[in-house]
Amino acid sequence: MGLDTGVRRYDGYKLRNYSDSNRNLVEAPAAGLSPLRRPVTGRSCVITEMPVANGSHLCFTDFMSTKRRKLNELKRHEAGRVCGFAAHNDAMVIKLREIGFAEGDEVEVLGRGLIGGTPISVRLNQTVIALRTREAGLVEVDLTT
Amino acid sequence: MSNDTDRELRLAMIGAPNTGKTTFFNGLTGGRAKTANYPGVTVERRTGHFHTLGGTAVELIDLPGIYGLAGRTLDERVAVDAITGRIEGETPPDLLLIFLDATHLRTHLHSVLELKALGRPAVLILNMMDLAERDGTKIDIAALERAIGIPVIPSNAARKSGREALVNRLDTLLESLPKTTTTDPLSIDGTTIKALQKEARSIANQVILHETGMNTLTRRLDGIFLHPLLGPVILAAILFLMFQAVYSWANIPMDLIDSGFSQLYGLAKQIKPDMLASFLADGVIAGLGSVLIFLPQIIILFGFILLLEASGYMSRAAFLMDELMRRAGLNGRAFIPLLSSFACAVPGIMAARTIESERDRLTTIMVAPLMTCSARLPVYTLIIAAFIPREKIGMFNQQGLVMFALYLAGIFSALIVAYILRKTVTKGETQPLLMELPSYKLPQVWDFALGLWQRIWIFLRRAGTIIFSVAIGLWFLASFPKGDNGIRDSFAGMIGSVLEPIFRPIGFNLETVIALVPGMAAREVVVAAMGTVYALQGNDEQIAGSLSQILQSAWTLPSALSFLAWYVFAPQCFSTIAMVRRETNSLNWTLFMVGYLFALAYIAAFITYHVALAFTG
Repeated sequence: MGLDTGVRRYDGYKLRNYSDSNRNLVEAPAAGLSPLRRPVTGRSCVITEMPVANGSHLCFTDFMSTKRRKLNELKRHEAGRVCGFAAHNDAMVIKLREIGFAEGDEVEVLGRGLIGGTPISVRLNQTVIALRTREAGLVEVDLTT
Repeated sequence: MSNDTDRELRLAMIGAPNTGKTTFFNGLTGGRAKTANYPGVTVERRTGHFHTLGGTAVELIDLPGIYGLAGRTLDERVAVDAITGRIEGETPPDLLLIFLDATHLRTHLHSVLELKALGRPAVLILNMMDLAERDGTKIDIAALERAIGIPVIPSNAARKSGREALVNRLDTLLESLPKTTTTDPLSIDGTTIKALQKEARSIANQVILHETGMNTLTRRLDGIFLHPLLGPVILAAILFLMFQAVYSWANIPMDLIDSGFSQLYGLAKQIKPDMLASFLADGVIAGLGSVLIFLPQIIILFGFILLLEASGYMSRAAFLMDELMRRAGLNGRAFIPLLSSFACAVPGIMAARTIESERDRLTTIMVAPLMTCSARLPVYTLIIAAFIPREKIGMFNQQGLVMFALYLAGIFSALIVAYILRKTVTKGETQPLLMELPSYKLPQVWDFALGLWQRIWIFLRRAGTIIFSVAIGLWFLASFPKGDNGIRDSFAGMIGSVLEPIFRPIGFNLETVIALVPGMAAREVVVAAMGTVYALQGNDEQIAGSLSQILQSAWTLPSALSFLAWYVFAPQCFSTIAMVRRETNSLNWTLFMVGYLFALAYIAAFITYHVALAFTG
């Protein structure tokens, strides 16, 4: 995704907050990607860049962040940025994208239903979307709160 | 003037749901199509005509909203087929008016790019600019135009001034229509849509000069209305208030109408010869009057429903009900068709088109007639007024409570029937809920008045046509031939006598059975029919009173309750049956629905009658 071109801002992300799936802290300078592009615990990670309002947002797949959540795990008033989907070509993921979910988008859980915390009302940028926990589980979010 | 073209130019309106297409359509064509503040109001293709300032005749096509070109639901397919020219015998539209809600530009822009990729001549209507500006969003229109390569026209569909920008530019746009052929829609998979989104987001970053958070009013109101505990309580309270209001606010106007018709009845009875007097008084006035008296209640009920629809609360109600619906095996989207069915099952059944899974849609259609439609209101009110005392229990009107209970009976039986259907004939996985919750908007006075007037007009027209002719036809059938046994010797009495044994076990007398037959046409007709039958039957003492007073002496309480139970279920409405036939395209499903509803009606009435008999001794 064009990581080698140009100068970018990284939306205030502190890359050292990321850890891999073994919860090993990955040390990385705040503005510089070279440490991350090396294989981490034996695997290489894929970094996707999505434009956001003030720069770019980096989505790290293939290794876990301590701030990585599924959208259905967010509590009321917790916010974050969409960083990916559980499946690439799943019909439901395409529907989620069609209604507007995309990497880099701001999401915030506004409310949850009484029984089993479902459905969830989510602010997606300026739009509010209602969905059930099962579908929300397909959206991966990096917490910003 | 460019009237010399051999055919009208065709403009199709397309875009995400709830972006104001129908509002714009109504504004340009003078149409009166239903608009409301929730996604999926329009489920049909609709055409209207207007002339541009330069005099070019234009056909405007209003389409259901779509998020993409996949066309998964029936309503989406209507839209996709229309813009891609896949409808037989139709050329694709000459110009696409792509609608985008300016307040949701960032989220929805990718669907504009997808539509643009069709290669048809298109302009982007950036609607709800007034709301975007009110929220403090600033958009660089010229930059947007450059970035997406089609003209961008800011708009506010609800106001004439807000539509001017398009009206003023339309002639220029139509003159310079590029000659293009349709390319096939992009095949949308994970990769293509992600690329579209990426492009759209970077365009959004360039053109949105200033952006604020979401609408603060909506956030605050949702904090209350969607609160896990408070939300359901408020929903119940709103519904409860609605039914209380239908009762307590309508009393005075109903009494006025009642006394008006009583006087007319008295006057008509003076006319000579007696036969004409009976025709006018017992046939026309008793029949019509017994139905028209319910106009105030209809107005209040529809007033409430229109306010809920226009404000944006409707989809919140769907949100709150979703989990309950899911447990019954229904789609969350099914709530809106079912809620519309409180007004009338016919549009409710059509609204089920927004449901993607065919099984879910069928289940929704099958249970929609269980929702208490406004045509049951006259039936319920009549019986309740006659048999339930006008006392208060605490602060609540007792009659209103019974009405509320009848509505609940409809809702819960719908949930139970849906559950059983989903476990048996419409087995399968439940479909997900994915629904935009629109910003709250203050209802427009004019739209509200127009919507209400349309409902009143439909009610009056039905009273003037179906009910009127039934009342007259029944008067004739119930008056001739004359015999010693009164109505039993008439044609209607003969028909009734055949059916009477079937209905005797549920406590219906001959007059009720006679009224039920024309009551197949529409539910409120039964009230008019009883008005006529009892007017003909009545002795002088009874004639002075209203129909509900007559029933008090003619019926027992168990019969009355049994009649209410019958009407919770009975599919006594030809329009509904015809609509189910059309929308399911299956005679079997239609017969199944009619059959199971009559069976439930009979069983419920039977149980009610015998339980009530046991209690009253």
